[in-house]
Order: sequence, then C-alpha cells, then structure tokens
Amino acid sequence: MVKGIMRTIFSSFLGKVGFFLLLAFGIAAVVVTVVFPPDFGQRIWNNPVYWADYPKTAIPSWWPEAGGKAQHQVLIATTPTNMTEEGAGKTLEYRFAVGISSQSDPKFLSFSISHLQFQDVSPVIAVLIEQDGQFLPLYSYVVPDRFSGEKSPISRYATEPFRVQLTSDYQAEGMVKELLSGLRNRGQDRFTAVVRLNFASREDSVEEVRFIAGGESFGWLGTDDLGRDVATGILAGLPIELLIGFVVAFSATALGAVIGTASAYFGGWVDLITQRVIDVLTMVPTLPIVMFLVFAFGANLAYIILFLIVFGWTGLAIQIRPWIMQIQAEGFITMAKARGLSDKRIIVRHLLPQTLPFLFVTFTFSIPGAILSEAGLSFLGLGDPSVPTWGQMLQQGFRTGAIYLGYWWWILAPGLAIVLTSLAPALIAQSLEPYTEPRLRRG
Amino acid sequence: MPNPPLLEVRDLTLSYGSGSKKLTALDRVSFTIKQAGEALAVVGESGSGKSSLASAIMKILPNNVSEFSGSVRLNGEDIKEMPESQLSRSIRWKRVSWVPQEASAVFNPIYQIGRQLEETLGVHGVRDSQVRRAEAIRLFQLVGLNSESDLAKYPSELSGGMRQRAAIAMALALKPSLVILDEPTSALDVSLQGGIISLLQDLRDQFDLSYIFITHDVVLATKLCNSFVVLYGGRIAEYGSREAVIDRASHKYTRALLNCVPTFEPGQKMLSIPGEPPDLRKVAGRCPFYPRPAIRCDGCRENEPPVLVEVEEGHWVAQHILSS
Repeated sequence: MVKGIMRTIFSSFLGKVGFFLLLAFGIAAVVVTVVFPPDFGQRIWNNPVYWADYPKTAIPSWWPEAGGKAQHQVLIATTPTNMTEEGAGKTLEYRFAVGISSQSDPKFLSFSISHLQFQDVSPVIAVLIEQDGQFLPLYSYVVPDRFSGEKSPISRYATEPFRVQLTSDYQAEGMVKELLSGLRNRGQDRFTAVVRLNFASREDSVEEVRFIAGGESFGWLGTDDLGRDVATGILAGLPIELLIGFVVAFSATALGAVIGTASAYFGGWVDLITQRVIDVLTMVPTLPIVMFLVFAFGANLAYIILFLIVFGWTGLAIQIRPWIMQIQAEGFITMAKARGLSDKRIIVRHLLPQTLPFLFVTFTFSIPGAILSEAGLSFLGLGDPSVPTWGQMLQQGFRTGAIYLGYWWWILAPGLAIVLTSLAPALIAQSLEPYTEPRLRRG
Repeated sequence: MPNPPLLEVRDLTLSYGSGSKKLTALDRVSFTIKQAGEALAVVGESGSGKSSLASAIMKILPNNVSEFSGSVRLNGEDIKEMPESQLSRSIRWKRVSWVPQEASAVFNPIYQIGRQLEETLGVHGVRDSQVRRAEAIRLFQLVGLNSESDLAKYPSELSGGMRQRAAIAMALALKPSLVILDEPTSALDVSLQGGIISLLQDLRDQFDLSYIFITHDVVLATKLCNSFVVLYGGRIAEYGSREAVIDRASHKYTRALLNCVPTFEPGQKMLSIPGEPPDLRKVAGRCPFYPRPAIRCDGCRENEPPVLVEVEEGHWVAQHILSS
C-alpha cells in the first residue's frame, strides 16, 4: 500500500511539490525542536525583557525601502572569546565583530550584561573598540559592591540585564563616528568591540553579554511592536503548527474510523447511541463551543488539541459507516465470524484495512483543517500564550493595527506560513485522489 | 445411556423483520444427524430457507432477526443458549465449519490465502508460527493444491475450482466433526464438480466427517448423502433416508422435484414445476403448497399448515390431517 501511495503522489506535479514542501517543513521542524530551548515560548518569545535590545517594528533588512537604513545588530555571547587567569582572579574577554554599513552609521552602540555572580570583590566591566591593534576605551564600570547583609555569592542583573547606551554623550558619539568613517575609508566592513570583565575570584560568572549596534531594519522578516524577531517566531511556530496538524488529524481520523466502523459492525443500540452522539456533535456549531470550552478550561495547547479532536472525528464516522455496512455484507466477513475470529480482530484486520487508502487521504486532508482551526482560535485571542503560534502572531499584528501602519512583514509572514503549511498536505491529498477514485486514474 | 446425536435440530424457527414485513425463513424445522460420518442433504429451490439453515446452525445471524426459537444441539449442548464468546472459542470452526456457496467470498481479497489459513489456526490457539505453516501445507496437500505456490497466492489469483478446494482446506483447519457445505459446487463447471465431490467423499471416509450438504442438485446429493431433507417455503416437505426420500418419494413436491432431473434421452421434454416458490412473508400459519397448484394436494385446500407424519420408520412427510 505504501508503495502505491508514493507512486500516486509522485505521478503528479502538485503531489511532488506538496511532498517536498512537507518534507522541508518536517526537517525544519526537527531542527527547530533541537536547537530552540524547550521553554522558548515563556522565557524568550513572550518575555519583553529579552527583546529590549531589539528595534520595534523594524523593516526586513533586504527590502529595498530599508536600503538607506542601518541594520540593527544584536550580537549575543554566552561564552567568552578569551579567558586569562591571574592570581586568584580571571579576566573574561568577549569579542564582537560588528558590521559597518556602507551608507549610514549605527544609530547607537550599546551593550548589556545579564546575571553576574561574584564572591566578595566587585567585578570591573570595560568596553573597548579595537583599532590597529590598539584598544580605545569607551566605557568602564565597577559593579555595585555588597549591600549590607547580602550573602555570597552576590547576584546582580538576574531579572533585568544591565544595559548601557555607549553613545549617549557627544564625546563618545563623535569618537565612534570618526572611527567608523576611518574604517569605511579603508574599505573595512566591520570593527571589533570588546567587553572585558575583571573578576577577583575564579568562581565568579556571567550568563550573557550582548553588544548592540542600533539600526532601523532587522533580519529576514523584521520585528514586531515588542521588538521580537518575526523570523524567529515563524521558525519557533513551525513544529507547533505541524504538531497540531498531525496530532489532531491522526487522532480524529483514527477515532472516526474506529467509531464509525464499530457503529456499523455492532449495529443495534451501539449504532443508535453512536449516531445520536454524532448528530449532537455535528449540529453544535464547533467554533463557538470550542471558544467557550477554551475560555472555561483555559487556553492550554493540550486542551485546544483535545477539543479539536473531539469535534473533528464525526464527519469521517458518518462517511465510513455505510461503507463498512457494505463490506460487512460480503461473504468473507460472515466467514470471519464463522471462523471464530473476535470482533476486535474482524474490525482491525478485515474491515478497516479495506478502507485504508481512503483513511489516508482523509488524514492528509484534515491536517490543514486542524492548523487553520488553531490559527482561527489564536486569532480570536484564544491561543496558548506559552507557545508561539502563527495565529497568535497574526492576532497581535491585527490588534496593534499593523496592517494600517504598513508593517506588512508582521502580517504577511505568519499568514503565508499558515497558507504554505496547509497547502503542502492539501496538495498531497489532492494528488492522492486517483488512489481512492479509480476513475481518475491515468495510464 | 446412548450418546447424544451429533446434531439434533428441533423445531427450529427463524424469522426476519416484524409486522407486515415479517419473513419466516425456517418454520419448525427438525432433523437429526445421529453419528459421525453421516451426511445429510438439504435440497430445495431458491428461497426455501436452505442458506438460512446454515447460518442458524452457526448462529451467525443478521441484526434484523425477530424470532429464533427451537433448539440446535451439538452432542447434546444447545448452541442457541451459549454466549457469543463461547461460540467463537469452542463451537465455530472447531466443531462446525462452513464452505459457503461463493468460494470467492470465503477469503478476504487483500490477504494471501495461506495467511488466512494460518490466522484461523492462530486465533484458535496454535501459537507457534512454524506449526501453523506446517499445518497449512498439510491441509493444502490434503485437498490437492500445490502447497508451495498456492499458499502465497491472493484469492483472486486462484481459479474457481482451486478456490473451492482452498475453502475446503480452510473448513478442515481445526478438524471439525461437522462441515456445512452450502452449494459447494454450484459455481463450478460440471467437469470440476466430480473432483470436488470425490474429494469430499474421501475426506468423509478418512476423517469420519459429517456433512450437511445444502444443494438444489438432487443427483449430486445422492452421491454424498445418506439422508435427505426436502425444504419448501421454509418447511420440511419430506425427510428420511436416501432410499426413502429418493426411491419411495411420497410428497407431491419431492416427486415433482425428482422429475425435473434431466436425462440423456434425446428429445425428452424437460420438466419443470410450474409456478414459483411461495412468498415467505405470507405463508406463516398457512399451507406453503397452496399458492402453487402444481404441487397442491387435496388437503391443502383449507390452507391450513401441514404437519409432519411418519409414514414409515424414519420417513416423515408433510401432510394435512383432514378433519372428517
């Protein structure tokens, strides 16, 4: 069967497109799952502190309109470039290669440090710019000493990073400007910024150091009104969208197939009750009731998936029931009973396999449905806030008026992402039609 | 105390539907297969209730059965009273198996035949796959099929005659004492029928099998069976040993049926029974022969249901007790 399905998919152009699109999404989703931290949604995406160093509603930097604007750069380091130990202490050096735009200077330079820990003596922070092997000091600072009653290790900037605007005064700004124009004239496209930390104890530590060159355009897909990188959000949402699509589609298909088959097979009161339950579930308007349930139980991704499954299986159960009745009238099912096979075995081994190609197509067709339903719920403000989904991005964009303000990247990117991930399985399902409908077969 | 008979069917009544749509397929049918090795023929026209009899004995009934009464005793145990789980575990296929009319319908078209044979063995407790395999090979050899290549074939890849043999192999899988043969040769060429019948004769002699041979072909039935039930309109018209029913047929319908058997005499007029079998929805509580003048007797005139009368020992005929 698998061979037949693959052959059918590859026999049409759209099938191939759908297959490779889905394959690419699948690989990307796996990479994202491995690379992104598991608590990305809560700790990073929905944490405004994390995005404080990013420009708000910056246009994608490749867009022609962004040509004259400096690219915003956020350089993040969690491990030092150099570490030298002297006596009981150590010096950590973080080097950042900052790009220089050929047209305009950075709007500002800044750096930030998060979560410093030291034993007794305050560390010293120094920021320098390298030029011709020389280090020009821009800034230095001694971290506030122990407050009275504070115990070692002493912790600083754990909740909010220590953030310093390096070009806030004329002198510094002029120096940087001079330096950059000099470099530009020599045809260099980057300069090196160094953040140096002097610790008195080797046990002292720092979590993250950032160097920021301010600009008005950012990344592949720009940023939103909180400064969040839209491209990162799209990537982070991909595995979640696929999870929703596949889990809901698979569960609803399996549930519908088993319930529809059991209903037809056992008949009598089993059939009666099942059909009435289906009647009720089909008659209830799905979106309002799911909205109500999400409102009542809380916007949790697991609940949302559960509700989509509960209301998603009935159509297939209705479709498959008469078909199973028809198969059941065939002699081999009577013979299977006569052979003493259990009901379970007859359903699983003899009835359901006859419908497998159809079930596969139904499964593929329900994936976009599930993705769109979740997007719809998120758009209505009922998405799970702990995970980034494209529907939520759309909703935030819509709520903030991104369309009217011309922040097209913020609306278009998640919108297109939803369309493409829904399109891939739909194309596959479309190409599989000849597999279940022999009249469409060619050659 | 004598052993209970292998199969004893008493007053078996089976109706489908209810109200004006109620259809009585079997009406107080009784017969006995005393011991292993006996074969009983059930002959009758289409719609006489022959096939309903097979499913009633296996107790595999559709959902719309409205009445199922009487008793079906296998070695004294009434299968009608048994729970479904026990029927599946220890009666169906283990003691009674079935070769249905359409051999093509025995097998699920999507699995290989050998796999389905092994499935039957597997669900009845043969855990070792090598034992199952060996048993499948033995069964295929028994019915004259090529065990090497045919076991791996899909049902559609076998010819009609081969499929029928495979169906018989399937029926013998669990060494049952009784096999219901529901028109096992009606879909086959005459040249193949003989092969199947002699296979069935060999198997009967070899394993002391009993058969219920459901057929409309009286001649074929005489080759295999030692007692006969003639069904008409869901009722027994005549029941007795082969000699009694064939040689000394005393019911008008039996005699008419026997007259229809063609011979080789050229120019001989082919006989038929004018009219058609009764509508089973209308004969309950009436005389099934009355609507068909060709087989109506004097007693049928009052349209009362006939009763079985023992005209000689073990030879029962449907007759009307005429109130004088």
